[in-house]
Amino acid sequence: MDESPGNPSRHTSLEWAAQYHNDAVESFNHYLSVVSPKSLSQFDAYSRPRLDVGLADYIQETDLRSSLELLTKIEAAFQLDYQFRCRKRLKDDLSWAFRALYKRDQRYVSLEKDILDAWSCHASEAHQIIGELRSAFKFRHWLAHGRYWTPKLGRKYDFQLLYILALTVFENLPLRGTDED
Amino acid sequence: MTVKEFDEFVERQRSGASNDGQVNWDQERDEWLAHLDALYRMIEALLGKYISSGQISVRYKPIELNERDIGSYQARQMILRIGRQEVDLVPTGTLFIGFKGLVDVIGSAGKSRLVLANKDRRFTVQGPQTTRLIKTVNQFRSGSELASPSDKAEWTWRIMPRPPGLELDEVTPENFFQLLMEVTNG
Repeated sequence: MDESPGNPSRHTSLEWAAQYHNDAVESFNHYLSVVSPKSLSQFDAYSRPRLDVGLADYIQETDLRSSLELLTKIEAAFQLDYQFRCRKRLKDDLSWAFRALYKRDQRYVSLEKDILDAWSCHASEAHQIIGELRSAFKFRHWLAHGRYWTPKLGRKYDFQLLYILALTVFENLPLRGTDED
Repeated sequence: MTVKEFDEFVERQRSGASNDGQVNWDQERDEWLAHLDALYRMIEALLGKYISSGQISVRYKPIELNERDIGSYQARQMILRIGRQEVDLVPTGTLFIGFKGLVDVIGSAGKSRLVLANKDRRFTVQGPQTTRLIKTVNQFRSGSELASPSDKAEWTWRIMPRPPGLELDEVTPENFFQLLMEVTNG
């Protein structure tokens, strides 16, 4: 992949998301370290424990934001796959199911109710990955809609787990359309 | 919510339960908790010299876990005290795609994670102490591990890399000491 700054597609890679996340965490570690000039000027009233709490909050917030970014990448990949299979009129069972959906709702289909259901029904090898995705997308809704309720999740998600989930999805499911016409 | 939406919800749940029908979740929970106990014994052995001299203390506290397929159950959290630093080993659950268990290692300066991974030699490509994460997740292509997680897999504790790293390190004394220093900024 072209990794030059002018190439927007470089932002879509998982590796780039991970590097960005790591750099953001490292930046906060430096920014709020006791020896940072910025920290000394801005947080001079802080005791060390308060500084640590501030750093932990920033790192937690960064983790949540990076987690949302990963989940949006997964969602985009499924939506692009749906559109590609419909546009190219592919002949496999999943693509037939998508074309039936397209006749009903065209481009505006629900990821969870429509697209993931079709994957569960027509790609049996995907069943458990889709189950984990459904759970992760409850976390995505919470993140994307203001976090104003306490989510009931079957698992505590963070950037590292979601990175593995995204890697699993992209390595194992035959998603089409991301790099194709 | 319409009746149609509820019908679809019931069908999704029924279909999922049918596909999971061959998994004995109680057995999965018990095996995972046994592996967790084994991890704690291994760590106590790794730190034996420091524990016996009183430089490091170990205690446990019960925590409640709640997982989608298993429900609510109790596990033990390990707490290591190293001087003024405290490191918590917090089990977070079992059966996350390709792994049979997850334990967060939380210190004052950060978090790391131990995973219970399949020790399948086919996926060891970087020597005896590392396993490629990408190979581990690729086991899903066959679906065998997902379909019946208890099938004859040989499980071993590994240190999960920080993304985008892909190497799962073995829990050796050196690796575990390094992990403890990283999470405590030692």
